[in-house]
Amino acid sequence: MTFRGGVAVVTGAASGMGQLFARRLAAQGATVIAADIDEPGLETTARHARSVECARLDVTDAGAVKELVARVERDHGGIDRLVNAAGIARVGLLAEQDVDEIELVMRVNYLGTMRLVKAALPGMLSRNSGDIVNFASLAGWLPTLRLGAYDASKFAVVAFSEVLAHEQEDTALRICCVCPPVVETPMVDGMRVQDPASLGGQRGIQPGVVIDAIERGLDAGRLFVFPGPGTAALQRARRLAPGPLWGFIRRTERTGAERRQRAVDHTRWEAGDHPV
Amino acid sequence: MTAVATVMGEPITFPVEVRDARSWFASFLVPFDAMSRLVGPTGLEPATGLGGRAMLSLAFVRYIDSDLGPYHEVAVAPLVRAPGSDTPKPAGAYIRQLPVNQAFTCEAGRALWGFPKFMAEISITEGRRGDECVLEHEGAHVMTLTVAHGCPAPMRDTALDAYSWLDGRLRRTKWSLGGRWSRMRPGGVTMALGSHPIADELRALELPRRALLSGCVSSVTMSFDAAEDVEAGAVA
Repeated sequence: MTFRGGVAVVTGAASGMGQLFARRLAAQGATVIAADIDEPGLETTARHARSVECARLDVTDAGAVKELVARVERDHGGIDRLVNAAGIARVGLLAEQDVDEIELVMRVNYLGTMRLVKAALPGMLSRNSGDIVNFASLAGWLPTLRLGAYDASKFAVVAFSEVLAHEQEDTALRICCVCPPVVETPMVDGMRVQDPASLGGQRGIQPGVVIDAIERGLDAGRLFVFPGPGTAALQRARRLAPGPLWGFIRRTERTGAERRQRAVDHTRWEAGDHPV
Repeated sequence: MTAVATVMGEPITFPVEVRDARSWFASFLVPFDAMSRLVGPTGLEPATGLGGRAMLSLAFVRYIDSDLGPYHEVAVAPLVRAPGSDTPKPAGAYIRQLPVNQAFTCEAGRALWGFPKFMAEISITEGRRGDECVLEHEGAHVMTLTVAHGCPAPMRDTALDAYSWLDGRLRRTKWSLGGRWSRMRPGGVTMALGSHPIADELRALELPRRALLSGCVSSVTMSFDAAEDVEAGAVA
């Protein structure tokens, strides 16, 4: 069923999945608290949308998270849906990545999600109603090269969501952990810029498909949602045949790296750098 | 040239742009006489399609990123010929009903173009096999339209005229429309009408059970110019 009226808090609402989710909820008639660290982005999300309220929020700031949740509960009487879409990716080999960088990914993706859930949960439990949507990733089941920090943070979101859902089995709360493959969002564009080989040249699915799958998952009471064709099959392959799957990932990575090298060679050639 | 209008204290610049929307549509062939009775008061004439029948277009739209904000809308739009034209080909759509679920777009639509927008409850639920669109007004069920997922089919960019008839004034708005990721098929809809004047209006059109065409366009872009009055003389 469509989420009607009600109050939704969406993190990461300044761009990508969070922005689309915030707009879709606003279109349905919900009051949306759009939270993000990127204020100009939030303004774009809220443009001409009277039911969207912008809130600058750094999800790694424990105090700010508690404060925002308390304010929304005070001003709007409670949170009916929490969407944890804030996330970052830092591409690189673990051996070369800075400790601080790996830690930051964990703090935003996992600890940020955890903090918001912990802050919003008591209110939802006291009303015995509410939806929690946590953005994990297919990378939360299926790690790939150059995304070690991101993969680890998403594994944590998957485990946290799974235990949370089982703890809350007897309540009316609906908990959904969405595990999309590559989705065409600004984050993925950023990953391509950081390292074109990291996604093995894959084209992503459309963001709208992810949200459709989440809504269906919530209605069907499914904890894990794998949007896009073949995503659930990849997750099963990881469980049943991790070895061959790693072979496949290495091959894909190689293809991506070769494609990137070819592009570099071609640019050089066009620039007049012709090897003799 | 861009013109600026003000709606609820916010400036709106023409052309008004819709950068991202999703639309579910169904078109029906209906008896010409029934349609003439509906369209008649505006001075417009129904366009005719297959077998001399008139055409009705129904659409549920979810606006995601637009100059009028995010909102849901339902359009009941008979296709009409150009005013004063002899050719029966459709030149535009007469926007007969246009309920929306947000106040800002409601006010903007009425003030800027004379579109018959009013506030209603509109829900759109994507399902595994088909999508369900429900329109309710003041607690009364108006209609439920279920649209099956059709086959991928490309959509051409089109430019057409949208006609509005509000307070005895006929206006024309140039409207361009583009779409990507569209799926469609012949038939493909089930429609349940409730008890409401709009439902009665649709019943009076003797809608056939089967739609001519239905589908969904996942990524729609639109652009609306300012409205212009259609001179009474232009309507034969």
